[in-house]
Amino acid sequence: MRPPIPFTFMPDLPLAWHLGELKRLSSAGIPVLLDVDTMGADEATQCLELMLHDPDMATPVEPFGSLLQALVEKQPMALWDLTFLERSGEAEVFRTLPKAHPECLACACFPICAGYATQMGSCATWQALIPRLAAAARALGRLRQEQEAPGNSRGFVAAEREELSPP
Amino acid sequence: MTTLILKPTDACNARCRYCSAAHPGAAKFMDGETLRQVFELFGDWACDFGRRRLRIIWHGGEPLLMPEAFWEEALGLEDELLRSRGITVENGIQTNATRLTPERIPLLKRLLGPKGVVGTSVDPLPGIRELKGVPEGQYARDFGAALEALRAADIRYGLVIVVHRLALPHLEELYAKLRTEHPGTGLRFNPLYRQGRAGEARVWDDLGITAEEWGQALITLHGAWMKDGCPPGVQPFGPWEALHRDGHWGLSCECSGRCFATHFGVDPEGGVFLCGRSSDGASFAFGNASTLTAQALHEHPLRRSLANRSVYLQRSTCRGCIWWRYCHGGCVNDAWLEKGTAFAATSFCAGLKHFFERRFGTNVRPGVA
Repeated sequence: MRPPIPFTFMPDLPLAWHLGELKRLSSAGIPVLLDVDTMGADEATQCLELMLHDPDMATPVEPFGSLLQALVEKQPMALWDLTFLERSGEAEVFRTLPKAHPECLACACFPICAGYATQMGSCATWQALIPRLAAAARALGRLRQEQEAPGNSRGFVAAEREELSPP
Repeated sequence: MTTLILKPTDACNARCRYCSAAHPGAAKFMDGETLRQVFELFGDWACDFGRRRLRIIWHGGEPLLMPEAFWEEALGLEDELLRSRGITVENGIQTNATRLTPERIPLLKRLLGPKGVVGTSVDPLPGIRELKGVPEGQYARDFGAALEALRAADIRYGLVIVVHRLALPHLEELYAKLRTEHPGTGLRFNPLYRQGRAGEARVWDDLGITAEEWGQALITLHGAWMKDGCPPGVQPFGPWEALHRDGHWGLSCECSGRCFATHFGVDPEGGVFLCGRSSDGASFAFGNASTLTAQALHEHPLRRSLANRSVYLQRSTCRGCIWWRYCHGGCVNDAWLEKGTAFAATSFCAGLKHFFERRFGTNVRPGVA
């Protein structure tokens, strides 16, 4: 897939316009990269909902797509590991977290955020996004399990039974 | 299942040199109202979050200093507030056993049920464990008589052995003696940690061990265990061996990385803590049973922090460590004692690594779980 193109929210234009543009680009097969750390919680959440639910969205909206895939596949990762996010500074942030930001270590989003949002000043946004992404990943994981369960490949199993049954 | 380390008193009739639970001030004894509040809280917990299974380890201090009336009330409240709600309750007890006379055996049987085990601890070296205000040697005599009474009543017991500096030159001999005198008994070897009486400078100078000494002690004891045919019930070795061989993950609390999910400690005044060690050191406190609700306890920010400790360590101190699955950063109380933070690995890390490398080599899958 082609690399995503950066998509910046312009403060003078309404959210609806941006969502419309996202949809136009994605339906044309163009993946998009959002600068989530500069977005408000509501804007970011609506972009995520668009990606999750709108049938016209043909390409992922990054970094949501990568994060969702990692969550569905239960990869041990955090925001620091995502290709599309700012990855430097983790060691320094971690060193200072227990004293400088104990609230970060008590946050339910820490297993995925791992202090990234504290460095970027985007806690509110990621605190809105992460639970939604985790819920979507759980739902997708269940769907995948149902589809892969024995007997769900009905065509193959039915054919096998026909071969084994007496004439 | 949730394990509740319940300390009805911090009073003790013994004066062990390295007691981690000893602290200054008047002894406290739990009253009936506090016990009721504790059972109401953990009854709700067991129903909402604990799969309706509760294991209560009566601890202390010395729990058998509590009078008969307390135990009758405790058994009644367990039925009224726990079992009546469909909660399975298992009782255990950790006692120095010196107050365990044949007359108390019927109470013990009622408390423990058919499967319950008495936990106790032993230190054969002279001068380490004595009773207050009685001649030297009485502890050992009373202890021996108690074990005889347990055996006669067919009640199983397990032994905790604290490894300290004076024991280091005698570990193999100690292991052999324990196996001979207590065949089929579970043994658990723990390092001495710097808390309570062991935190006093003169005690620690005499008895304290370094991480490296603990690692070497593990190597020595493990060697003795292997020569003995690897009998079951000798900790910490059995779970590590099972993990290495089968990938089976049944580690004890200090190595599980999940103690926040499985354990609580309660002190005589109803204070609720992460575990028994935490209640001794008044660290990792959640509040009091008189005011906490199960929901508030479940959502407590401290529990969330403790849950996040694993994530933090895996991305910092313990990053890339091939032994992560074997210790998960070790006991959070060790980290607290040494560094004043939960977000550090156990102070015994170097010793554990030394033991793991010696026992299992270095060709292991990097830790993930």
